[in-house]
Amino acid sequence: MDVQIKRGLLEVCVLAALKSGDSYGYQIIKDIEPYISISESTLYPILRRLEEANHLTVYSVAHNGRLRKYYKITDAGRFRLKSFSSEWNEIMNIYRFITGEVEEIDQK
Amino acid sequence: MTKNEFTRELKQKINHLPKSERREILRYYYEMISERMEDGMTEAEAIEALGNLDELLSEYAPAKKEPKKGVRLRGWHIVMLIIGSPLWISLVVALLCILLSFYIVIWALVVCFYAVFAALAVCGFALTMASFFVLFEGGVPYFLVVFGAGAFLSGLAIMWLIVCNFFAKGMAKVTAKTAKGIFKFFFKRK
Repeated sequence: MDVQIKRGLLEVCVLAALKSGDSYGYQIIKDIEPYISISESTLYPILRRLEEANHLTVYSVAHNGRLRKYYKITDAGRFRLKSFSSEWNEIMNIYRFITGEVEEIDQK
Repeated sequence: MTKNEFTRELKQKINHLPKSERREILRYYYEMISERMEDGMTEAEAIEALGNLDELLSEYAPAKKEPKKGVRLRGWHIVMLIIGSPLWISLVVALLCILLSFYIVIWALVVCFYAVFAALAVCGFALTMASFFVLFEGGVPYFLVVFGAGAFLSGLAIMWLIVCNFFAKGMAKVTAKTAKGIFKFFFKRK
């Protein structure tokens, strides 16, 4: 998948994984992995960006003698998630436009 | 790959990031390795699963190379050097004066030694010569006393000359070494 598109989608995916409750890094990966390929190395910058954009907050919880970082979606994050689903129609239109053009190329 | 090897590789890759950021990234990866190992993976498998480290960096804000502080500092150094010139120039001059005075003192000492030799030699020679006049004027006992004193002083002068030469040679060596040392100090500094 195109890197730019994937980056944008992953941000939304992480927010979606947090929608029903706070989660931690590894759990987020396990939740998203079936749908879109993601590794720790890709997740870290995404979490950072979302945190900087105030779409999520971070807190630590003791777990097995170490600290586990939990991520909590903010109202701004929820708004972002919501606007993504409303953008979906727009995206589908773009998709149809692109595939239409592709078909035309094929016909030629 | 072991955790140690992984840590080393990671540290090398994120070397250009700020310290707090590096610590945060390291902490994140350690957490993830622990999570995967708690999930039943071995350490090596867990590290393998972390994904390509380059992905972390490419996704990251483009690795801006921080402007080398050296260049800026150098400019500052020059400015400080000029501003501070009344201070450091006078200090350097004072230091040189002290060194020069040491040098003079050392060689004055050498000159003194030779002066003592000259005095002994002149006295010894003069007394030896004088003893012959004393022989005609005052008789043998006086002659013996004066001649003996003259011979004694002459002998002392010869022995003193040996001491003087030894001392002068030693001083020459010491000053040469010191001068070399000072030269090397400044040369290396440059």
